[in-house]
Amino acid sequence: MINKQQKEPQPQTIEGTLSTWEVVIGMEVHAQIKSDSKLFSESSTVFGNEPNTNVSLVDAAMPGMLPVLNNFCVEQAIKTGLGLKAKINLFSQFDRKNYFYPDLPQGYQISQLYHPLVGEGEVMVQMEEGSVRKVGIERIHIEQDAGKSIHDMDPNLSFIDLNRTGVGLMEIVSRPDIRSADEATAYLRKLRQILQYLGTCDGNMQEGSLRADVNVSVCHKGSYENYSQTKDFSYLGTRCEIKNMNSMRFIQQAIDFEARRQVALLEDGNQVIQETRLYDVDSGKTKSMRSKEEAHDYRYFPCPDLPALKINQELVNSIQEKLPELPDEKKTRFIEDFGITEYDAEVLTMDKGSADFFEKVLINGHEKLTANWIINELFGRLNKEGLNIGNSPISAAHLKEILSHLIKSEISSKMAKELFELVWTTKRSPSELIKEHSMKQVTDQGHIEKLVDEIINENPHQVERVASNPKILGWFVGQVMKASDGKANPKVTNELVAKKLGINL
Amino acid sequence: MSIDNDRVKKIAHLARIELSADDIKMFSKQIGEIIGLMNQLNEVDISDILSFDADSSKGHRNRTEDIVKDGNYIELILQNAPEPKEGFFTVKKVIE
Repeated sequence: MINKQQKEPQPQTIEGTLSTWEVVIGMEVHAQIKSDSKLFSESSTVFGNEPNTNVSLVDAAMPGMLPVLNNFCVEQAIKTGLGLKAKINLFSQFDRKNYFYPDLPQGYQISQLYHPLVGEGEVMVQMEEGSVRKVGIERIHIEQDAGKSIHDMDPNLSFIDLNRTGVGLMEIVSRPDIRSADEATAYLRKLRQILQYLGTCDGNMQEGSLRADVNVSVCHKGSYENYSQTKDFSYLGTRCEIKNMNSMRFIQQAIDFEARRQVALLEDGNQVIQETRLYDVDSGKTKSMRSKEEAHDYRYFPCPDLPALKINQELVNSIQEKLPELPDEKKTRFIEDFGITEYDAEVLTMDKGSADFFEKVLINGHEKLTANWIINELFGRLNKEGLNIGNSPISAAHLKEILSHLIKSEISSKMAKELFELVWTTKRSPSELIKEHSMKQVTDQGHIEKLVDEIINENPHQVERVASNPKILGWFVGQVMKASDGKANPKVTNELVAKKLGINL
Repeated sequence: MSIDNDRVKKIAHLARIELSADDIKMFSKQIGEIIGLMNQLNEVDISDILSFDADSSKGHRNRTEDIVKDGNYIELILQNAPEPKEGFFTVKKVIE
């Protein structure tokens, strides 16, 4: 469970030839706002449609078109802010960020530089051995996404698809509180988890719904503590920004490479130049984006097409009231209320779908059994088939039915697993399948007693031996099980055999 | 803000506009005059006026429903594009 008394993880260090260096990372995460229509137009945000079909005249920046703000996107951003325990600014404004690029038809992006919608917040990131990194959020602002350039369709041309143009983004800016490549990806995972719980971003990195710019710098041991106390950035090294990362693995590799590159520069007596870099997947190196430097003058100014954004505290309150339970709270509740292990709670709350599924299946007094079945049987099987909880062939109701029969000892564990298989493949009702395959476990004392008596009468030799060798008991149980076609309740059988043979269990 | 030839050159570059030496000279002078004119606004006392404010644009409405009502007219969108291919705009290759 996360509590603020937990210790902080150790920062990632790089041993140079002259000194030991520490890594400092800040991240700007672009999260696509989950909405049906775009931030300033009424065209669709659906991914993967035919090129240039999700485009309105506003998105294409036709002359005279004016942006109209989608309130739902604003509410989604407020919800995100509240989920990150951040301050919501009741007054914010839109600014134009000017630059030329073929996938930006307006020639500027509408963003929020001077007065962002959301202020300071925090994300608690669980690391190894019970340590927790608190990553400060500096701000979240809303802005338009750009279109997409495709470079591999023609040797001399770039192809432009404006479907993504104007889709709402939240730029979530962290403080330089992240201290290793591992923490960077753990932070991004946690952020994604929270956004998915909130339903404000689908978090799909393959589709580009979540992308990160990673700021990396290195400093001498002890320097970071000076920064922490004074908030004076001059204690930190010069940073480089690695742009547009949408894979956890590449983020990790890019940070490792970039930190080493900076250490090598500094130890050779050179300086790190503040610049934008790109990670090249093939070479595993970061390289300078010189063109970006040229155009760095964005000439921001307040967007004359949009009035300031004023929000009522009542709106913020009503969103706060409806805020869903977040991963940390849910995990704590699972541990405290259901008595399951921290590990199980962590796995079950990894995504909201799994947590909801667990709670739907949950049988009072059998929480641990429910958790085990979901984690071992269901998740194991889903992983094997490349499926997830959202498209599980077994519904929560059906799994609950299987477990109810198991708990009432109507079927054995072995039968329950067979039944699980049957339901998985047929998707039919467990109770029906039990009848059809005559799976009922026999718990009827009288019936089992009859079988036990028969076995004892037929095997006087074994009965003689059991007094000196109590292990023979197992043989009797086995014979009864066999005689019952495996349907006798093993527990009841065991007790009856022991009782009849006069052995204390 | 003073406008000299270098600043005009930089602005032209940022705006991806090609200017001749004569153009640059002419625009330095003209933009300088425009800015001089605009600078007169600095003399107005606006200390008690909020910046561009929702209250001052009461006619402006945000969209209250997140419903898709626009798009799906690719012909219209690509109508003025010089060289559309397979439903895409095309431009001279730009790649980092």
